[in-house]
Amino acid sequence: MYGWIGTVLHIDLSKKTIIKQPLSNSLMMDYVGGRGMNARILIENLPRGLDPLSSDNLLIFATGPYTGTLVPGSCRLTISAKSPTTGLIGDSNICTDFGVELKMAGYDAVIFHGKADKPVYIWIENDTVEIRDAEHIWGKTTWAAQKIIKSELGDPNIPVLCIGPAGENLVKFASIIGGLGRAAGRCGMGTVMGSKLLKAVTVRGDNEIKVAQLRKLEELVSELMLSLAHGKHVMTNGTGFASYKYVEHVGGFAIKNYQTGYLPERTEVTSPEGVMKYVIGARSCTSCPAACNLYYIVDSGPYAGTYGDGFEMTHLQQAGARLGCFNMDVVLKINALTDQYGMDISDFGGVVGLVMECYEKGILTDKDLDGIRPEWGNREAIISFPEIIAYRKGIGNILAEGIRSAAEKIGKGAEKYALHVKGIGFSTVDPRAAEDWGLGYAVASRGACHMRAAFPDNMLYPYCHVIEKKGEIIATFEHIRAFEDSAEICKWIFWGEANQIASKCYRLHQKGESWTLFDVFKEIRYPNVLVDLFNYVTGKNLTLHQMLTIGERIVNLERVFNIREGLTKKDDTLPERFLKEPMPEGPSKGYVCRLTSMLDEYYEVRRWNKETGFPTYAKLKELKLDDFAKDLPESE
Amino acid sequence: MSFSFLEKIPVVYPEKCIGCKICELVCSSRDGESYKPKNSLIKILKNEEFNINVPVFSPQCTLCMRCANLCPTKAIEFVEIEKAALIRKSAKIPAIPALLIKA
Repeated sequence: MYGWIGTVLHIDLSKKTIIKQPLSNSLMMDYVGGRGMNARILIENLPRGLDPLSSDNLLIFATGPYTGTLVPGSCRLTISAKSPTTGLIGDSNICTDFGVELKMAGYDAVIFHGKADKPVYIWIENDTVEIRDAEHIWGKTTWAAQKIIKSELGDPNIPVLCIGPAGENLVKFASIIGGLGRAAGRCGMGTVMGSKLLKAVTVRGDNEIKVAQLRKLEELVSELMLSLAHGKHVMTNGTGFASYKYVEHVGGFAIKNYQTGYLPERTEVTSPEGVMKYVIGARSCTSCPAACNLYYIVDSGPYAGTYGDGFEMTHLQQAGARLGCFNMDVVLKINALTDQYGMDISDFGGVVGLVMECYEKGILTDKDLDGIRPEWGNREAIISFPEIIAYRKGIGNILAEGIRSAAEKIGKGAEKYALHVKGIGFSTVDPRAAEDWGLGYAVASRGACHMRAAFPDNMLYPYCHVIEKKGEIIATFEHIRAFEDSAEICKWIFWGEANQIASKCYRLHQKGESWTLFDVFKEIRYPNVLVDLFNYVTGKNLTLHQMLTIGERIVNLERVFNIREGLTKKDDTLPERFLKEPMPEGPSKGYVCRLTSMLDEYYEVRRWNKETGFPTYAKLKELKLDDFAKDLPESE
Repeated sequence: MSFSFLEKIPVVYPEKCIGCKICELVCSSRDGESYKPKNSLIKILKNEEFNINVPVFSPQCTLCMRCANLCPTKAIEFVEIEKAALIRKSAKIPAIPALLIKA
């Protein structure tokens, strides 16, 4: 078999059984791998209404056919389960050598069932799978736990994925961490791992991954390398480098819990020079030429000696600007602490932003806060939050329940300042500054996610304020991204090419003639290149149209999963702040996100019922999902 | 059989190496059929905690130079022995947190 290995490993932590099963052909061809495959397994195996923290939830670590090959940016893995943060489908994508090793060990995926009776970790070495005692590492940070396991196994470079105290204490937005700062952060996958008393998983494989046309793949990658090398596009538009563009080009930086998106002057956090002072290198995961992973060391001030990696624009906002803090050393200290405790930086910013705004508005007062004074930018207060959340101390115990529940518990109108969609908080650009990103946030199956559609017009002013045709564009990009999450390739690797698509769309829009996205795809290598890579790896003859259908199938299947759990059209919305409070200043001054008309077009393009938001029977049948029509409350 | 490293040897630039292991994948696919990093004749020694990446070679390297050709940062080059000596003369190897190995 080419690309895939063809075997899925099932580990039942309750029964302590280990079973290897063949990967079915339909999972490969209809869902590809990763996110798509996981969604299909979850919908078939989880009963409606299941408590995400019950032992019956499944936790799936799945690779895709690209993983472990020369495909650039392919060292990815999707971790899925029913999410304790949203109660809906949950998945989180992480770049880590774990997926590469898992395939080399002989498995496309590993699925955890049940719950251990005491803390354990899993050691997979090719055919041998051991459930090992982890009582001696329970309670340790993610960094310490990895060191202990590597020392026990005598192998310093073995990939370990683990949870920290946040996952152990069932913080609802706990992450799974690999290395220093590679994180499967969203949707509480670390919480599910903690609920299973599974501290860590580690794997070593000595086998091989076969690809159908290895030399052709190498030629194509060699040609791509020139434009992809050292992340030209990533480094100018993403990770830690583009915060000033978000402020200056579109005015959409998350400042003071998204009260504003604009700052008149540059700060450490919003200037390339300010960020670069701390960065001593940019590194890559396996097979990736982009080197987007910024490694930092703080060399002065109260946090001197702090180091870590994986900090991105999200951190500059969620651990910085959103909390009114513009000091890089604080941002980096928070980055390191949230990685060590194992919690999602975006929902961290969400709940701390909530506390700070509630304090400003008088909803929370000193008597609620055990001596913490959460004024905007107060570094002592900000630094105290990772610990009190991870160990559920004081107000931390409320915040650990996630942004939606925390606001309900605080009450007194706090809900207004809890910025989330479907229970998951925002990571990045303000939807008043990039309106179609608002649509992407509103409809994303896992809640306010900026990577589900990620159409790169977020800094393309003023096209980010054009709403015509955006329903169609966001839907199509959701299909591309779903395929990428399933074949397993980084969404940043072809960001430059995707940018060209956005620019071309803008030019066609300006001309005012009729056009389709497929006209644009004919002229730009992306997303066609994904199909070429897929065919070289697997030996199949996939077409662009088929690739998009696979993506559409995944999006619809996730939709059905969520509807089964009670999701309705009402949930496809944004917080009031983005819909009703005009942006107060900057390039996007006066704008709100005009969601409704984009949403109507989106449902129409999707052939989802505009009144209910449910997929029509015809659409489900077209996508070979008609078996699930009975799960919808009002199937036609 | 041709012997390696008699006239040319690889020179590596750890400061440029991003640790992507594209070289390992490429080298390990010499048979043109599969990726098997265990068989690679080049390895990246790493200290991930302190971001240090050092490519190292097996003396069985065939000097095919596919690793250098695909290296995205040009952290590997193959040079004449005399040139390697001159590079060494001017290179300073600083103190670094130790690289760890599987014993």
